[in-house]
Amino acid sequence: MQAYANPARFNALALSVLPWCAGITVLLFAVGLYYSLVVAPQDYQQGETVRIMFIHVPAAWMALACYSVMALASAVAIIWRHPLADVAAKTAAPIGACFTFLALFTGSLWGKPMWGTWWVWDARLTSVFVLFLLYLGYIAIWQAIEEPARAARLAAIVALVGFINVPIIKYSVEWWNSLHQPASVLRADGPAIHSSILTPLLIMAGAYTMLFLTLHLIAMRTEIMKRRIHNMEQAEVQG
Amino acid sequence: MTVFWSLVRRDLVLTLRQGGGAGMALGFFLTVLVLLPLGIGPDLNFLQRLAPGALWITLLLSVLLSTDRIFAPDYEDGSLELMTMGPMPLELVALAKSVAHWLGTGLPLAILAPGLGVLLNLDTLLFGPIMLAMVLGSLALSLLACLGAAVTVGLRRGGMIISLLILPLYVPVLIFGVAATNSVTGVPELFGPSMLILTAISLASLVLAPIAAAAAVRAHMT
Amino acid sequence: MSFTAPHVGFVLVSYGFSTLVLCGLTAIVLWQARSAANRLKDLEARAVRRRKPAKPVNPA
Repeated sequence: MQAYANPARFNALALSVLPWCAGITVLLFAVGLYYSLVVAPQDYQQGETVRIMFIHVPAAWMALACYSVMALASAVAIIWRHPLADVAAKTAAPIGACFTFLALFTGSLWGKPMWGTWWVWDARLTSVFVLFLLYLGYIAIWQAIEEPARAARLAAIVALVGFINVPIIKYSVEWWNSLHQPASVLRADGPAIHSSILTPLLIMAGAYTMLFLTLHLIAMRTEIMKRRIHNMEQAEVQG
Repeated sequence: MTVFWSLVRRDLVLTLRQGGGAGMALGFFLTVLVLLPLGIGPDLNFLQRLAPGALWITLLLSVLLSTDRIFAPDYEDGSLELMTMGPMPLELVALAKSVAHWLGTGLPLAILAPGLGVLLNLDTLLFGPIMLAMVLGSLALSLLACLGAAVTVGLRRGGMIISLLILPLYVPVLIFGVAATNSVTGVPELFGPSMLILTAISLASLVLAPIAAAAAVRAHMT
Repeated sequence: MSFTAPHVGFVLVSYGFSTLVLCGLTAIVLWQARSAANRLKDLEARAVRRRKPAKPVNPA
């Protein structure tokens, strides 16, 4: 782990890994889309709309996974003061926010034919919504503080506080939901997932994960370059 | 410990002298309570059903309103920097400031808010429970508000960012606070558990929020 | 997939929109990487140019 703390070494590693990541992402998306749009059968209850699940559920998973990556990187940044960890946390946030937004959007589109309205205050949707707000707060901190080192520390604190709260919020929202309405009609982990549904779901989840990995590596490289640009420009002004 | 309480007293006196604190927050609270029926109509039955939730949400917003002044005056005149170097750990400073904010804003609101519930035709059975729940819950609200203030101290648009940062964290307090309040007329067995969870949230914030707030202040000072 | 089934529009819109957002995200990330790389190359070239004439002055 320590060996890759050096940005130059990370750059070299990222460069050698990136083509593979990108290739696997494209491959997984091709196979996953074929499976989810062509191979997977209609659901006896949901009809064609079951296909929305193949892009909705992975997006929701990635929303949580990105936040975990962000929080983990923030913890590393706080404890070991790794500059690379700051970069990792910062660049994971916008990508995670995009996945979260997609989870909300596709969830809404799934809800319309299933529940009859665009938005239902279902426990899962609501907690994903709160997660989206947590992402926005985190991004706002990075944008509000100009000095990178200070922004990194504060953003890391915000990410960790949010991470501690995620399970509490999720639990309380689920509890609230059970109080106000009977268990929702539709659940992703509904009664016995058939393999014809599980296969495309897992492939798409893999595709989303690889997409995140690829974009994250590129964005981290960009951020490192931006910091060097910042330093060089300052040196130029001073020298 | 005397340092701790003198800091609490100092902050309390300062907010009261500046006319901030409870008076301003209460004015805001009142205004929202007047706007609510104007927005959703004067139907008393409907208002009664809405009252606990509306009171709680107004409480969250009122507590948030005075948040950006928790650390800002001390940051501007440099006394915050002195406090970071002082004999008392910064965690305790943050705790003292949270307690002062609670005593100056949260607690008075929690005690007075149910009385204002008359405006929303709050069920008389609920006056006691909502006050109890709000007293307990507002402690967590003040502690989290202090954390938000510590993160955003010295930022130009700090007030906006605080609401974005802190309101999502208020979700559990809101849910269990309203649940405890509503349970009296709904499912009485829920009152005990909800109050216990509310207490747990407050106690957990009591321990964790000052630590995070102190870390944030230190990050600002370096 | 049958295009005559009910609610098929929702499926198409959600796939289309997801594609749009993810492709847009990828495009932005790539574009930022490109522009940062170009800017860095630019700066490095300038730094080298500035350093060169300074060499003869060295008392070596």
